[in-house]
Amino acid sequence: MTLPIDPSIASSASEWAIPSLDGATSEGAGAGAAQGAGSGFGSMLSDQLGKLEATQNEAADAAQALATGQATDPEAVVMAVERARLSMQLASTLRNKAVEAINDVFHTQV
Amino acid sequence: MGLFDAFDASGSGLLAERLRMDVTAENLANAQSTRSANGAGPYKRKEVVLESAGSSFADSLSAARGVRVAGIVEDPTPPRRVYDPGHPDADAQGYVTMPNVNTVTEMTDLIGASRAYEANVTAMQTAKSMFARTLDILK
Repeated sequence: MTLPIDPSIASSASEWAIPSLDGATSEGAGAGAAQGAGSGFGSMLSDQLGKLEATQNEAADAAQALATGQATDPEAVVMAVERARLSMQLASTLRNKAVEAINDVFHTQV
Repeated sequence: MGLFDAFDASGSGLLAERLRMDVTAENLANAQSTRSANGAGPYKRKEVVLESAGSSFADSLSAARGVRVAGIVEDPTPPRRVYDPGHPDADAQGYVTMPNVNTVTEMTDLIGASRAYEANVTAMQTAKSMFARTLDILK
């Protein structure tokens, strides 16, 4: 006689398996970069942080060029600054959301 | 379709409209110039020709394409002839060949460029506030 529902399904079914968190364990951009170009959450995070830093540098350079009178078109400066601001907003919102989520986990009643 | 496509399109619009304003200012400044630097008669009115950027098929599939300047061309309309015998550039009949610049046309062009610039700024601000609204979903 077989049971209508095999209890072993709880441990063997793929949807119950806990996914590997290899990439996510490397906290911070420095650690992520040191680990190399793995295709995990950590490397994606460090990639995006690198891009964010690039936009910030671009905006800083543009603003400096405007201040020193080297910039010929103010539109490009405004766009670089605005792009950096929006990218930073996106990053900080995502970061806040992630922190909120981890706090929710920590505050779980056991 | 990138995050800042609308931004780039509006930015190219700003650049194009500013060039239009520059050229209109040049036309206005040279409205009385009877000589050119290369000695080829009076100043000729210039006009900016704009075209949609991105000519490849892949470009036409992506969302927002900007504008780019195809060139600055000279207006072929004939110059004005003004009777002014005392002018150093007057011909034997006493007529001076003046540039084909009409100040009123230039002023309306200036208003058009200014309004178009404003429209591009508004589009950019709207794209910005839409992006900010999207981020508000996460808050």
